Amino acid sequence: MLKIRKLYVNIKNKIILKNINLNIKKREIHILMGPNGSGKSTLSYVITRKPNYNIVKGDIILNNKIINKLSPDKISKLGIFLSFQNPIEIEGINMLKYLKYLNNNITYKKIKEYCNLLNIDINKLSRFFNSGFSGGEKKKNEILQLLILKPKLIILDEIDSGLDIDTINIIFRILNNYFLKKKCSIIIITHNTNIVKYINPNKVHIINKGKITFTGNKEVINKIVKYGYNNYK
Amino acid sequence: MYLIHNKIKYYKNFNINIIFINNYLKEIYCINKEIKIECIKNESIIYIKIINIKKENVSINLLLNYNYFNFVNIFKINKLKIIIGKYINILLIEKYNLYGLNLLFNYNIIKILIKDKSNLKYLKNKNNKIFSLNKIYIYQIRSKVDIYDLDIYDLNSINYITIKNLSDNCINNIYGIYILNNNQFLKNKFYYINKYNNCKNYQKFIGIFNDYSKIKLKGVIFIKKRTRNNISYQHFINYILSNNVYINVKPYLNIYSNNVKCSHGVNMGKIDNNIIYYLLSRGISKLKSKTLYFLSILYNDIKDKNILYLIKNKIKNKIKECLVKKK
Ligand SMILES: Nc1ncnc2c1ncn2[C@@H]1O[C@H](COP(=O)(O)OP(=O)(O)OP(=O)(O)O)[C@@H](O)[C@H]1O
Ligand SMILES: [Mg+2]
Repeated sequence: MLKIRKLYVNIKNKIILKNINLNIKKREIHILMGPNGSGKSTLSYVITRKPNYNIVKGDIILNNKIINKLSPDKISKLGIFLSFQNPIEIEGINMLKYLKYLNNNITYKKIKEYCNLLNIDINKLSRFFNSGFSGGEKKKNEILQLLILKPKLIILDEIDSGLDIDTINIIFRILNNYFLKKKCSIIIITHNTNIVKYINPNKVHIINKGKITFTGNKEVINKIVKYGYNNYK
Repeated sequence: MYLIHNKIKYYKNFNINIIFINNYLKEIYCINKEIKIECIKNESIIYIKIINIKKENVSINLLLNYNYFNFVNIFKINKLKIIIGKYINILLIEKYNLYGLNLLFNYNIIKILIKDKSNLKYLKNKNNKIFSLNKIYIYQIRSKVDIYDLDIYDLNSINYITIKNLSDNCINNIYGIYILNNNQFLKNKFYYINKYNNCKNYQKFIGIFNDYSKIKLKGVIFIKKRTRNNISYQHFINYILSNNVYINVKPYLNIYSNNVKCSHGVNMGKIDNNIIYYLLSRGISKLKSKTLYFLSILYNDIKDKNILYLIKNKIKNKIKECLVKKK
């Protein structure tokens, strides 16, 4: 599904990611862990082609097509979805109307169904986009959009930070029961070492100072719990 | 003129329709029993007095329904004076209908006196086929006025808006939305004159300019010596989308009182690229993302739902038109 080949990325003339290689197949779950500031969010931004996140070298390949030069909206149309670590607020845009922009055919009934699933108070959707929503509520709104957009490759940047245990359960249930059944691929960026209780990853990558320093199976998480990231420099 | 008269539309959702044909007053329809209307007209000016018969507050929608047919006398100026009595909440909207005309030059002078405990919301409106020169004078006595000044049409216009307080405790807000493209030219002048105490004045102007559009904005605030507890806020925010835009924005502050809270500024609006990226990343096209972005900026300040409902589609279409790249 998604391949990243020898990718170097700079922001404002500073190299942030170095020689990143990834290969995520259909229906695979990859976990990305690493210290703060190691480049996890940067990688998610560069995949979704955020402006000013410049590819110096290397390729991002989706279904055998190089997508380096596409714009974020085109990337989304190809089925990649990024759930943001810090979802933004947009004053002046009504939530419900916004959701219509994502998919004009989405019915109120369907939105209501998704809200029930996520335990979102639908009345709050008459507010401005994410305005006055709590951190956790904003994350739920990301998943609401995920449900509406139904992408093929899902990148979740710290979806589980700041969420209560019930909400984490709900979200991973949705991922397991819905998106994996639909053969989606998922990249989960997390600091949560209990992640394997909720989802069963095919691979775990550790990124440190802009480099992937380890790729292997989920056993590595136990080692990180014991020894930290020191062995993966 | 009588033959074509039956073409004229009445707008049922307005309690009062004041109908003009070629700038002559034709008829006044009032379906509100709590309101009395007195009218005096002569060749040069029309006086309309709106009186609340009851002692309690009454809410009305008033439409200034202007209709123009092919034989407009361009020298006929529309001079109108409206006196709004006490305890009236009034939504005043202008609507222009052109019949068999492709273009119109129009000169309007409107004076409004608004009295105690009344509340005016005034939506200044135009039409894509009208070149216009508008002069508006608002005199306030212990009342509140919100003016929505919209310039999102295709043709040039010149507007003067003067607000003068005639008592203490007046509140007024002017909210200007200007979206210009092509060779459009807009010249607006605002005067706020206050010689009393405890008055609030809030002015916010947001402009989006593209192509070779030209804009001149002048905002004058006058606050008299030894007045107390006045607040005045004036802010221009301009988004410039082309290097060929000519823009001239000048605030003039003539504040002679020491006891006043006042702030003013002119800012170049900067597009928040993080928001645009967020919208794009959800598959919303570039044009739609930018449109949404500008709508969010404009809508955020319009607190009145009725007004928003009336103008949102027009604004949206104009923004889209303004953002589409010319070939
Ligand atoms: N726009 C930017 N300008 C300059 N430096 C940036 C920019 N964005 C990211 N960086 C730098 O790139 C590095 C990686 O940041 P990134 O946000 O990807 O870290 P992260 O692994 O997601 O961290 P965290 O776990 O704290 O979310 C950091 O050193 C950060 O300061
Ligand atoms: Mg991060």
